Amino acid sequence: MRRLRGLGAVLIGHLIAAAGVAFAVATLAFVAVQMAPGDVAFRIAEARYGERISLQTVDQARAATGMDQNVLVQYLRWIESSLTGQLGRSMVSGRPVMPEVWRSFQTTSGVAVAGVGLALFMSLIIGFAAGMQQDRILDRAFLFASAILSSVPSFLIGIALITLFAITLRWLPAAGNNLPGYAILPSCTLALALLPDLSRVARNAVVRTLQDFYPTYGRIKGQSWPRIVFGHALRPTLVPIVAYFGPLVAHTIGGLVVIDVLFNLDGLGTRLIDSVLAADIPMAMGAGLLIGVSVVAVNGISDIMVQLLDPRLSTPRLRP
Amino acid sequence: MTQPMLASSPGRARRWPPGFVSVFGFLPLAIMLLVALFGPWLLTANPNRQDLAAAYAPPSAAYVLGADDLGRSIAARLVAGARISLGIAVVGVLASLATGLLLGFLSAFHGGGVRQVVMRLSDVIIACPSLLFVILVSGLLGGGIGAILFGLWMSQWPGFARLTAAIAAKELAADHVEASRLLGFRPGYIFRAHVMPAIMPYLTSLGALAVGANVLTISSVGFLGLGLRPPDAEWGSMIAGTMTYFRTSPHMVLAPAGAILICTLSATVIGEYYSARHQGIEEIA
Amino acid sequence: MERLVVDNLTIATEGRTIVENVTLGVSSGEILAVLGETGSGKSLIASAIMGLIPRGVSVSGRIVVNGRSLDAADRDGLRSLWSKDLFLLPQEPLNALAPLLRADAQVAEQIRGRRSRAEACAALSAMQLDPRHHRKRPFELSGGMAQRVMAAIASVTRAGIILADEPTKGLDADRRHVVAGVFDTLRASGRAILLITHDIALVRALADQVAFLDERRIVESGPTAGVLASPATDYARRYVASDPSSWPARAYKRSHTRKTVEAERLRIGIDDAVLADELTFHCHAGHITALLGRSGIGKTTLGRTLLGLTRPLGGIVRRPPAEGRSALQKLHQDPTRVFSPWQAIGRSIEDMRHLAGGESALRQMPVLMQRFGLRDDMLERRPHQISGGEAQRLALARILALKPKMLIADEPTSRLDPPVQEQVIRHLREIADIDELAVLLITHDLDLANAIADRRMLLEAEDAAPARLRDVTRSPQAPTTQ
Repeated sequence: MRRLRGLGAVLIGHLIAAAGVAFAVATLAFVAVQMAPGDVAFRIAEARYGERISLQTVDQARAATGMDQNVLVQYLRWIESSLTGQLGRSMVSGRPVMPEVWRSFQTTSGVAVAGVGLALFMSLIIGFAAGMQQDRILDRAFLFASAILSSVPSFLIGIALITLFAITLRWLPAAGNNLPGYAILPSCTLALALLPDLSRVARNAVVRTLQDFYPTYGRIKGQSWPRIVFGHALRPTLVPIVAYFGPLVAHTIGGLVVIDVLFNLDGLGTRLIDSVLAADIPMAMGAGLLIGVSVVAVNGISDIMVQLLDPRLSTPRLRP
Repeated sequence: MTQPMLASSPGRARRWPPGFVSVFGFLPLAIMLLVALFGPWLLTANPNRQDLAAAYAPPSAAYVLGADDLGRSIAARLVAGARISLGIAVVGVLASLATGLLLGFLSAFHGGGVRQVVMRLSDVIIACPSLLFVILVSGLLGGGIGAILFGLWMSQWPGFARLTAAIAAKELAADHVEASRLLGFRPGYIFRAHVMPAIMPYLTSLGALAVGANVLTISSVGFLGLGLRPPDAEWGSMIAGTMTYFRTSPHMVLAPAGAILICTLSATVIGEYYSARHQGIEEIA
Repeated sequence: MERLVVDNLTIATEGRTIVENVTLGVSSGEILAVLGETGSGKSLIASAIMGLIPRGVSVSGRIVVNGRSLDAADRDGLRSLWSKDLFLLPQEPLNALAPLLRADAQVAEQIRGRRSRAEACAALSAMQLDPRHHRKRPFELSGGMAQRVMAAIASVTRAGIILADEPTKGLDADRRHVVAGVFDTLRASGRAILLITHDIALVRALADQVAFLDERRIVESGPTAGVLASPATDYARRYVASDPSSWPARAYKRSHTRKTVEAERLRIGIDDAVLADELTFHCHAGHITALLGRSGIGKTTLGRTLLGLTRPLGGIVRRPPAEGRSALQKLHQDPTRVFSPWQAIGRSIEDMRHLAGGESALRQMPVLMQRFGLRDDMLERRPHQISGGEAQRLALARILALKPKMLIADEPTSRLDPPVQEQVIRHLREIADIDELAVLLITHDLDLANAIADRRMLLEAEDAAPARLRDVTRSPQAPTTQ
C-alpha cells in the first residue's frame, strides 16, 4: 500500500512537471519571439511574401496574425487556445500547426527510438563486458575509447559517417527524408553519441555490484552463479542504468537538433530553429511544447521504472 | 572493515597511470587556455584575410595548418576561435560555479523557503536539454557571445547548486559540525574548515567536465549557425563551412575538430581524475 | 569430537605478521569465543577458515573440518566446503543479504522442495522473527532483525560449523539478548560455533569456551566460567576487569553542590512528534547523572534539547549563562567524527584561537593532553588515523580546555573496546570529581550506570505514549533497559 502511494505521488509529480514544462516552454517561446530584434511583423511578411515587401504587406501580416493587439492579450489568447488543444495556424504558411508539428515529431521519434534503442542494446553488452573485467586490459581500453568518443561533437560523428557510407561507399542516402534507409545514418550518429556515457554508466553499475559483499556471500550460502547473477544482482545493477537513462535521453533531444540540421531532416529540431528564426510564434510554441512534453514523459517513465525496480527508493526509510 | 576480508584496494584511483593526468589533462588544457588568453598577440596572420590563390591549400610552411576555401589561414582562425570556443566555455563554468555555490550553500544553510525556490527552479531548468536552452536563449537575444554565455550560465548553475546543497546539507548535519558549533565557532569558520573541503573535489570534477561539455555545446551552436556572425572564427562554424570539402581537403575539418577534441578530452581526463579522488575521500570519511 | 580444528594458523603480509600460531578447536553443540580488541586480527581467523584471505597475503597452518585436514593456504579447498560444512555470519548482515529479495525468499532459496516457503517461515519464526517481518526486504529490517534472518539461513543449511564475526557490532548493545537467543538456538541444533567478538558481556552470557587474542597470539584459553572467574594472564585480567558488571556499585550520597541545569515539565520531540513529556529534573556540579532507556526512546533528543540543538516542544530549561559559547558541551558516540576530517587534528586544535578565550584554552591543551596520556605526534594525523579511544580523550581535552560547566556524554564508549572504555569512563569520573563538571551520561548499560553514576534516571514509555522520566537511583536492580 505504502509503495503504491509512493508511486502515485511520483506519477502526480511528473504530471505536474509536464504541465509546468509545457507552460514554461510556451511562455519561453512566446517571449523569445517578442524580444527578438527587429519588427516581428516585418520578419513574418518577409517570410510570407519574400523580398517584395512594403509597409502595406507588413501591416497586413500584423493584422492577420493578431499582432496589432496588446502583448498581454496575445499571450493570454495563446495560453487559452493551447489549453483547449488548438495550437493555431502557422504565421508563415498559414497551415494548421498541429499536423505539421506532428509530422516532424514522427520523423524525430523514429530516429530517436532507433538510435536510443541501438545505444542501449550496445551499451549494455559493452558495459557489462568491461565491468566484469574491471581494471584489466579490456576495461582500460574501453574507458580510453569512451573518453575519446564522448569528446567528439555529434555533428563530427555524423560528418564522418556521411563521408564514409554516403559519399565514398554510396550505400546510404546522405540527407533528406524521402529516400529509403534515410533514418539509418542519423540513428547511428545518435547511437554513437550516446554510447560512451550510457555504457560507462552500465560499466560502473556492474563494478559497483561486484564490489558489494552480497554476490560473494551468495557463494558462501551455496547458491549457483546464475542464481546470484539473475536472482540477486541483476535488478539492483539495472537501477542506476535506468535512472540515468531518462536524463540522458532528455539531453539527447537537444542533440537531435544538430542531427536534424546535418542530415537535412524535417524533424522537430529543424522546425523549432526555423520557426524561431522566422518568428513564427504558433509553430515555435507547438514544436517547443512537443519537445518539452516528450522530455518530461521520458523522465517520468524512467523514474517510475526505477521505483518499480528498486522499492528502496519509494518506501520511507525505517528509523533505526 | 565491512567485510570479513582484507580490504583489497578497488583500484579506482590508479585507473590512470601516474603523470597521465598532467600530460593528457592539465598540460593541453593549459596550453589551449594560454592561446585563448594571449592569442591576439601570437597571431602573425589576420584570421579574416582572404587569399584566394591559397584556397584549399594543404598544410605548408606558409600555412601551418593549411588554408580554407576562401584562402584564410586555418591556424590563425583556430587561435582566434579559441577565445570564443574555449574562453566562453571556461567563463560560463566559472559563472555558474560561483552562482551554484552561493545558492546551494544558502539553501543548505537556511533550508525552508530559500531551499524550496532554488530546488524547484533547478528542477525545471535541469529537465530542459541544455543545447536546446542555449539555442532558444541565443535565438531570443539575437546571437552573439553574450547570448551564448547567458544560455550556458542559465542551464548550468542548477547542477552546481544541487551538488553544493546536497553535500553541504550532509556536512552541516555531521557530528564534526555540531561539535564545532557547540564550541562556539562562527558560520564563516564552519563553512571554510568543515564544508568547503568536502565540496571542493566534487566541484572541481563537475567543473572540469562542464568545461568539456560547454566546448561541445558552443561548437554545436556554431555548427548550427546560431552563434556568431561570419566572418568571425569559431571552431564549430569553421567545420560547418568546410564540411562539404571533407573528402578532398580533410585538413579544413580535421584542424578545428582536433582543437575541440583536445579541449574536451583534457577536461574530461581532469574531471575523471578528481571524481576518482573524491571516491577515495568517501571511502575514508 | 572436535568438528573444527585450527592448527598453527599464521597470517602475514609482506612486512607484518597479523596472526601468529593460532590453535583452536570447537566441538558440536559448543560455542568458542575468540575475544580481542580492534586490530588484534581476530576477524582474519574467520576469513582464513573460509578461504577468503586475498591471494597476496600468506597463510600457513592446517584447518581440519569434520575430520578432513586442509592446508590453510588451500583457498579453493576451503571454498568447496562453503554451505556444506562451513557457514559464515558476517559483521554487517545488511550488506550480506541480497538487497531486493524478501526475507522469507532469502531463506527459502536455500531449501529444496515444494514446501520451501513454509519451512523458511518456520525457520524465521524459530529465530523469533515476528511473522509480520517475514515479507520485508533487507532495507526494511533493523540490524537485529537482519541478524535473525541470517541465522535462519544458517539454520536451514547443512553446514555444521558456523563462524560469526562480531555479531553485536553496529547493533544497539541493548539488543544483545536477541543475538544471544539466536546463537543459543543454533547451538541447540548441534552446530559448532566459533564466535569472534570484542564484547565480553556477550561472551559471559553465551560462550562455553573462550580464547583471548592479544597482539596476534592467543594468550589464554579455557572454559568460560573458569577463565573469566580467575584469569591467569595480565591481558585477560585487564579485559575481565574492564567489564562494568564486575565493578562495585557506587554508593548513594545526598547532593549538596549547586544545580547546573534544571528542566521543568520539559516536552521534547523531533519536529512535531512528541517523544517524551513532563520531564522535571536537575543536574548537580560534580555529579554524574546516568540517563537510561531503550534505544529510540528519546535519550539523544533529550541531550540535544538540553544543549539547545533541538527546540523544546514545551516546558523550561534553565542553563548557566553562556559566555561566547554554550556552557554545555557534548561528547559524541563516534569520537573519530568530531574533528574536521579534512585537516590534521592539530590544525583543528590550533583553530581554537579563533574562539572567545581561545588563546588561554590553547595554553591549557598541553597540560590536558598529558593528563589524558595523549602524545603530541597524534596532532599530525587525520581523525580517521587515530584510534577511537585516543580520539575520545582528545575530544575530552578540547572540551575541558574551554572550561564548560556541564558535559553531555551520549553513549561515549559504546564503540570502544572494553579496556579502552574503562579508561574513558575513569576520565569522566575524574572530570566530575576534580573539575567539578556536571556530567549527563546517556547510556543503555545499567551495569555501567550503577558503577559510576551518582544518580540514575530511566526514560520509559508504555506503548505509543510519550516517555516519562523515573529516578531509579535507589533501585540498583531497576527494571532493565531492554
